[in-house]
Order: sequence, then structure tokens, then C-alpha cells
Amino acid sequence: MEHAQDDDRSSRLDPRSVVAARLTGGIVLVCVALPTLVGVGMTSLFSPWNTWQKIGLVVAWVGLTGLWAVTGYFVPALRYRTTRYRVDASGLTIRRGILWRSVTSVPKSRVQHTDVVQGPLQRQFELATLVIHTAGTQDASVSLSGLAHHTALPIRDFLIDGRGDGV
Amino acid sequence: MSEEKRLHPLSWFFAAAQAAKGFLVPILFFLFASGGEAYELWAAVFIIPIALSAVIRYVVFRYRLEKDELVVRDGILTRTERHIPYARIQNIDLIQNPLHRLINVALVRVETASGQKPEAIIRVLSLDAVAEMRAHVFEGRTTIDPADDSRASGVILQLPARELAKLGIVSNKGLVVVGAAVGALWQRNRWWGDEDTIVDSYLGSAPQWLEGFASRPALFVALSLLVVGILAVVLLRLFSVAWFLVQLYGFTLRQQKENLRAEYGLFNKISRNIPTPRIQTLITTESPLHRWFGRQSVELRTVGGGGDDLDIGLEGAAPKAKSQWLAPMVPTQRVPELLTRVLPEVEIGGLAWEPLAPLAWRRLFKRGLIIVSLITVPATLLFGVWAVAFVLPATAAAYVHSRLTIKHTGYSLTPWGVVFKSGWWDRTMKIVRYAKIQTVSQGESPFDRRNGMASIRIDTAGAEKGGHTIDIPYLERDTAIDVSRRLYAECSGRAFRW
Repeated sequence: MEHAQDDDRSSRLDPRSVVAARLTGGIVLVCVALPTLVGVGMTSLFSPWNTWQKIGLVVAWVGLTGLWAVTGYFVPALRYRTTRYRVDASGLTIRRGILWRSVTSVPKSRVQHTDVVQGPLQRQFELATLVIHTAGTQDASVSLSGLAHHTALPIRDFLIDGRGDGV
Repeated sequence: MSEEKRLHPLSWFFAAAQAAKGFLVPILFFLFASGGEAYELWAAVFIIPIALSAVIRYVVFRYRLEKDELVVRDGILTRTERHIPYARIQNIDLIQNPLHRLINVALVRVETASGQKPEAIIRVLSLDAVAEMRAHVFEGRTTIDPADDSRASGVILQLPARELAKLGIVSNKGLVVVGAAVGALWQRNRWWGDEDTIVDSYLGSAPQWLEGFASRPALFVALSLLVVGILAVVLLRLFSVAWFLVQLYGFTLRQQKENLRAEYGLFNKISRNIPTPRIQTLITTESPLHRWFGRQSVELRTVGGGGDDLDIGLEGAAPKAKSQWLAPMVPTQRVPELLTRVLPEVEIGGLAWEPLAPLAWRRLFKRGLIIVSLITVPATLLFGVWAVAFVLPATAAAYVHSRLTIKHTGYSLTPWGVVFKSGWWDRTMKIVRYAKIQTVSQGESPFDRRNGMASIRIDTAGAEKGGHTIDIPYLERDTAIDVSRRLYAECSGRAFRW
């Protein structure tokens, strides 16, 4: 959302998150595409369908896989461009979303506990996901992935420190 | 360390009864019907060790009322010691079925705040022990003066049977009764081992009967359907009345300092104790029938709690979002005063309502039009040209509905919290104090963006998804930014105490 709030006090995600996301997407794509390719191949070779149906099947596979690959390539960059966060004395605000945009604000006084999570690929890129737990229901856990690990840790420490109230 | 207390001496009986409940039907069947199937025999056998373990578990159950926490010790092989800080305890509720009432004991449910923590269910304690527990937990009192508790400290609301009947007419619990009856009927036929269950035999003869019926003159068919329809509605409402008369019989709401106590029930008597600081949201509802009676229903939401009392001991059911009655039926003009009495800072008389975006009705209208066209297409295929006759009135209805809905939807930012009202047919008002807001979100769908609008979501504390958020749609974008900023400022400035 472009408006006055979008000043340069808000930070972006780590640029490496784009590469990491593309890589993850690619791995998933391969894991799904290969078996389906085998399926399509077997169908083309051995099934009693007529030629047009087989061609249609192959075209469908190519189309879907291509579409997935293209979105998997462009979406992480879009996400990087449209996600911003800001940590200040009052709390954490996260702005994200490409089509469906949202701004979520968590006051510091409402943070119950926080996690910094790293999947195996994230570890390679020194990235992490920050998860903030509140007592809410819809937003019981607010997570922000694509942060640099060394950035996420101080944010986590800041958000949970000094919470003497609201046991 | 304060003294360890045990359960009431007769707890073993209730524990065994609870375990046996699941096996009651097979046991009865096995005992009284000939040729029982094998599974019933096994069920009858299995119940013995289960009941026995329930009994032993209760013999070893202990609890202590420490200075700041309730300590419960439980378990036969695995001994568990659970510490529940008083600050965490949201409610302590009592449930008494007729047998409990006979010997003045009650099932106690200790509900905690966090969604992850299970509640503690204590089966059973004497009423004195419960009063002592409540005094300890909510008022930090260590001694009980019998005079304290019996002091009628402010009856806020008392519902005579007449009001409960109105509630029954207004609500739709008739189907619950019907469902239970059908279920019981099904079971009964299993017991008696009929070849043909009653329902089966009715269904069997239904086709011929229906044919005979449909061949009668059209007017007769239409009239009889109408009569049957009306009878069904009346009957359902009567069931609903009966249901509420039984469930909420003698509903009394009392206030003792910071505690609300609601007592109700004919057979199962329930006593809920809710500390007012634990109230997260207040919700008032008004359906057209409510309006006819000049009444509203007020509920409150706290965190945690709820669930069925099916569990024995500490492994209580996971708490669910619980909506509890504050005032099931109350005259509309009494509502502001009632709310202020319960939560002194809440003042809803003379609220200044802010409307949604001026063109918000158009978006609702567009959605209505989409629905109308979605229905028209298959309708035209089925009924031909006549389906078109439905388009005009449907469009008019969509227009009226969208204008009325937007007219009756609004929000108000008060010095103490936010209030959101919505709906023109069924009217709802949600009230949240700033201190209870957890997170504030602003959302913009692509459609919002096209219209320069945005929506706001206000999240409150709860144990389960659903019903704990206030969603304000179709706001002008600048207003949305402004309002969410204000909400955020107000709520972050206030500490959150469960």
C-alpha cells in the first residue's frame, strides 16, 4: 500500500530470500513434475487413448509445469518487493501481499512468545523465519519469513524483553 | 505449603459412573436382551478395569490452595503435579446434575487462559470446598466467612420462566431437540432388535403415500403443505421453549465485587464464575423476533474454557472458544445500564457511529447481482422464460438489502474501546475494550483497491479460531489507515492482563 506510512523507517526482507524461495520452489516443482512426467509418458506410450487425447495430455502437462515454473520464478521477487516490516518501541508492523495486501500490527505488549525458525535450506542461506505468538485467534501466530538470521534474533530479543505484565 | 485436600468421599461413585456412561447401552443390552452380540459382551467386560482405574485415580487425587497457585496432584502410575497460577484462571464453574444436588456436591471445571493448557476437571467437590477455592483464586481470601458468600451482593438480572419462553421462541433450538429425539428413536430400535426399525417402515411406505398425496387437487396439496409447514415451525419453537426452560431455568446473574456469577439449570444446575477483567468481548444480538419482544441477548466471550466434561482428571478437553450468556434476554433499554454495571468503563448510551465508505453499498449490490445472475442461468434452463420474472424482484431485493445493510453497519471509537454494529435484519453489536485487543490488521483486496477501500480486522484473545475478531469492511482507505493507527496506539499503550 503506497501511502504516507510507507517511509524509509521500514525495512525490507533479505535479498537472499528471493534466491532461497526460487530454489525451494524449484525443488518442489521437480519433485512433483518428475513423477507426473513419468505418468504422462506411460500414458502416452501404453494407454489406448487416441492421438489427440495423448497430445492434449502432454500439452496440459507442459502448460501446467510451465505455469508453475514461471510463477515460482517471479513470485519470490514480487514478494520481496512488496513485503516490509518495521520494529519500534511500540511493536512490530508487517506490510505484505501482492494482490491481497495487508498491514498487520502487533503491539509489543501483546507478544506472548517468539520463535526463530530455520529450515535446512534457510540455514544454507543464513535466513530465518520469525514467528510471533499472541493471544489472538486469527493472528495467534504472525510469521515473517525471509529475514536474515542475524536480523531476526535481535528483533526477537527486543520483542520479548521487558514484558513484565500480562502473565 | 498449605494443607492438601482430597476429593469428596463419594467421588469414586461419580468417576465410575462417568466411565460407565459410554458403556451403558451395551451393558443394558447385554443384560436384558437375549442373543446379545459379541461386542456387547466385550464392552461389559472392559468396563470393569476402566471403572476401577477411574476410582483409584480419584482416591489418589489431591489438591492444594497455595498463595498464588492451585496445585493439583493426580495419577496412579504416572504422578502428575500441575501448578495453575491464580492469575491464569479464567473461570471456575460448577456443574450439578440431580444426583450431585442430592448430596450437595458439584463437578468443578477450572478454566485457564492459554489455548494450549487444558482445563482441570475435578470430580467432585463439596459446595463448601468450591466456595473456598473460588474465594482463594479470585479474591485472595484465605478464610471463608459463610456470611460473605451468602450476601446477596447485587442481583443484576433474574429471568422468570416467561422470559425464557420468549428466548425459546426467538431462538432455534427446536432442531436440537428433534435431532436428539431421532437419535433416541434409532437407539431404541436397536435395543429391541426389531427387524424393521420404525423409521425404515415409514420410509418404506412413503413413496406410495406420496404418490397418492400428489395426485390430489393442487390447491389441496398446497394448503396441506402450508398447514404442515406452519405446524412444523410452531412445534419447533415449542421444543425450543422447552429446551431453554430446562437449560436456563432460574437464570440469575449476580455480581460480587469483580466477579460475575451466573446460575441456571433445571436438571443440571450450572454455576459459572467469571471475573469481569477476563471478559474479552461483549456481543449483543437482536433478531426481528427479539425486536418484536423488545429484547436483546447479550453474550460475553472469555479466553479458554468450554469443552465437554467427558474427561476424568487432569487431561481435560482442549479448551474451545466459549461464548457465555451474560443476559440471555434483557429489555433493550436496559442494555446500556447493564453493560456499564458489569464493566464500569463501558458506556454505550449515545455513541457516535461512524459509517462505512459512502459507496460501500454498491459493492454489496454488485455481489448480490452476481448471485442473482448465478441463480438465473440454471433457473432459465429449468423453467424457461418464466425464470426471467424472478430477476426484477431479486434485483430489487438485492438493492434494498445492500442499502439497508450498509446503513446499519458502523463503528465507534470511544475513549475506552471500539464498538462495531452490523446487520439490519439480525442486528449485532460487538464491544471490545482497547486493553483486550491483540493485533490490528488492515486488509486490501484487489477489489478494495479498485474502489479505494480497505478493511480492518481487530483480533482479541481466544483459544480457537472464529468469533474472536471484529471485521470492519468497506472503509475508505484513508479512514482505515487512520482508524487502525488509532486502535494500535490505544491498545499498545495499555497493558494486557488476561
